[in-house]
Amino acid sequence: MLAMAGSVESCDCLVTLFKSDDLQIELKSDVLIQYGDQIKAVVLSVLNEHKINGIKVHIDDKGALDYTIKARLESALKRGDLI
Amino acid sequence: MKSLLFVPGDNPSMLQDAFIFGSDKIIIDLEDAVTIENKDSARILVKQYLRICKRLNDVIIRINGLDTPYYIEDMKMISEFDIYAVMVPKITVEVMNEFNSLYDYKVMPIVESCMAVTQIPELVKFDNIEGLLLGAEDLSSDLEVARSNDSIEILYPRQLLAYYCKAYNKIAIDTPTTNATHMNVVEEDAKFAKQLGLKAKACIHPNQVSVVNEVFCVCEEEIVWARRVLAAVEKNVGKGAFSLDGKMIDEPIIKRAKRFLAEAGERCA
Repeated sequence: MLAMAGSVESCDCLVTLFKSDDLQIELKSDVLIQYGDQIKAVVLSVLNEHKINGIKVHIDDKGALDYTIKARLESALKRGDLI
Repeated sequence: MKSLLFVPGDNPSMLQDAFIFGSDKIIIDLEDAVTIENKDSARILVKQYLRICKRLNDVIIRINGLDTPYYIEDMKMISEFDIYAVMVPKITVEVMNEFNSLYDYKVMPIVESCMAVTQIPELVKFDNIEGLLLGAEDLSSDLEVARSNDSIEILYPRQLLAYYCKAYNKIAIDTPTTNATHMNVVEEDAKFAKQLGLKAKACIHPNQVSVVNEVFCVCEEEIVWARRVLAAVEKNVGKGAFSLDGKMIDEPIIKRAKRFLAEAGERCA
């Protein structure tokens, strides 16, 4: 594991980063069917913004809004010295 | 301004709901409500929240103290946004001078030490201070006394704050009531603070907001009385003083009636 940020409290998400040569996004969410694509799009936008294309992102989502997903991913990336 | 709601900076649920409870301002807390381990992630969460927030002018951010390494990053984050004010903790005249030598922001400091209480007469003279918030918990600890149910230990700073803020046109903000369960306690505490001359009150729980708003609003009875006074003024043109309901009405009373109506229009409509 490279870094973590966030929590599994309501409206939050726990982002965990692992080393990987390619880009992998693992998403666990109660609203996977309704919002899974949207959450992955937010993750991709943050990774693209920072030109990161080799990492595994695991997200345990508890109903986080986009701003929270962006924040938790940015925090994890900073903690892992990736940005 | 009647109510200010504290919101922990590392809690997405409370951040996104912060404005729905009706407080005039929110105080996003990066200091005591955030653990040292999460200072970084809270700051980033608040940044992302502020980017989507539609009421930046109603946002106050409590930064970490100037005696910590965290406030520099807090202020870097804040510099992206046009917020209402920065809340500087552990205020003294020295801290205020240090802050102003580094930054150019409106400030809403917390008076939470015995030294700060003695410096209220100086603090109100800073042009960029909008108002002063009393922080009774830290203040009582500094005074080495326990908080009591009747808050007698903070009577003096409450009064000092009320008089000096009024004299220097600053907002005197009362300490939050720590009881978040019994709203009658909050109501009584707010009524007492209002009677002392404080103009607003901080809240630490959403349930407290409507109670505080109601207490610090001009009530219906006051509005009716003010309208009757001003109607009587028109009937008594040329008289310096006259009687209404057996009570003398003169210039200070007329001023108070006008203030009630102005505040009702401005704050309670």
